[in-house]
Amino acid sequence: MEWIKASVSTASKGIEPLTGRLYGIGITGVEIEDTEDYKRFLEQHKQYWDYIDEGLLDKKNDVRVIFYVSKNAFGLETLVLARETIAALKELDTNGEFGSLEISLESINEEDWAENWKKYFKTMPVGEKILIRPEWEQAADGGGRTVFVVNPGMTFGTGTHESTRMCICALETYIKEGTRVLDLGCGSGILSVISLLLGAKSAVAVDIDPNCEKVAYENALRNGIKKDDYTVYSGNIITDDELKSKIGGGFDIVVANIVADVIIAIAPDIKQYLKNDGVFICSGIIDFREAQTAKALLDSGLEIINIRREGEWSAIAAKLCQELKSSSS
Amino acid sequence: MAQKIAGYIKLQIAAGKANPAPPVGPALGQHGVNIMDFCKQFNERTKKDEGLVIPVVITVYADRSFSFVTKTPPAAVLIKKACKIESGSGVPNKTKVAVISKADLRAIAELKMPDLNAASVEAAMAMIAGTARSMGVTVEQ
Repeated sequence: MEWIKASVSTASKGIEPLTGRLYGIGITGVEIEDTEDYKRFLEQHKQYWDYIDEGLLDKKNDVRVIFYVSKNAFGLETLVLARETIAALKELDTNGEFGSLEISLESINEEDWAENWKKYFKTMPVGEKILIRPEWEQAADGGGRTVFVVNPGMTFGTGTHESTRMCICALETYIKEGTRVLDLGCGSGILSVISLLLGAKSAVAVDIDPNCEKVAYENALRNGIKKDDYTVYSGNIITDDELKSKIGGGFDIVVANIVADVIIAIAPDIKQYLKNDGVFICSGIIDFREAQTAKALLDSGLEIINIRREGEWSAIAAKLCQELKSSSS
Repeated sequence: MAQKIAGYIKLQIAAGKANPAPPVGPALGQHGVNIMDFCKQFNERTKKDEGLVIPVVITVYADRSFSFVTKTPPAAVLIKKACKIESGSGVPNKTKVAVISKADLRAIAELKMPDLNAASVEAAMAMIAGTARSMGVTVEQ
């Protein structure tokens, strides 16, 4: 798909009225370039930097509001509305406070930004046993580490995020030969595929985003995982009972690298998935939600065995409470 | 910690709904930022404000790592909320769609003070009033 990038020249005072009008015609997001604001920001935070990219300060003192519309009939219709509402704003601006309000257009390819950052994604060791290598990099000696080959694409889970790295470290600790793993919110499938590479016997992965099914199977294939050992479903793990019964139970490890709200919502179901001596690993928990998430696990009959923290993120490992185990056995 | 800044990006996007589509993708992609990483963190932090547009300032460092801070919602969004209207007027000098009270104007100005380059609440109120008028919202005298 192609997009049209529309840049509107304005002034600092024009930003609020202009964006307000754009939201009024259904535009849901904008980018704002304001050189003065950037200089102010640098001035206020100068104790934090030793030097800055010179190109950033070379820009002229201009202010632009940028919005995008898709290059199709619907997008072009939005563009017509934008032109009308901006013209009306210009008429209103008798003092010339809102700048020239001229619009310039440029065509943009969707692929450009999806690919750009990849070139900065390099082979990296994670934990003690794993080496993550992007597919487009040359195969190198893993130095005794298990190599996980990944093509991150548009789905979360490249291994660069703290939450993913902490899950991998936890998986290294708990996976043994023959382990069965359930990966909730699998994204690229990184955690379930790495589990299989670490010796798990089989893995089931689930994500609410249907794109993940394809990406996860591709990542499994890339790493030589047989389809017999790996099943990926897409669906809502909180509300879809049919999905829950398809997943079944008896897992040695359940891993969920999602966000606090989802972990709290699925906490009561975890005991149905876990074996008596199984471990639940959850991550993607932003620091200020850690206590609330831990409480939800305790309330759901789990006890916490370990908490890892990196940056603003926490990962919790838990197992079934002793009392719960004895009552169910 | 001293860091080299490679980029400074200001976006206004729907709370809890950031995704790699524009404007996020093109704005961050050119700096080599892991776009999904940003989206995940932004969505987590702004979940409580769902339904509002949230300004966010992203600082990209030379190692492609980044940090971001979220700001108060745009004045137009807060004015619409205060006046309980869906959208502003297309011809604000002719058609008026609502009246905003002085108290609401002050409340918005006070909320937005940290993000406005205004010397006083009165100066901030004048800026908010300007936005209100451009939307066809009359300011109570």
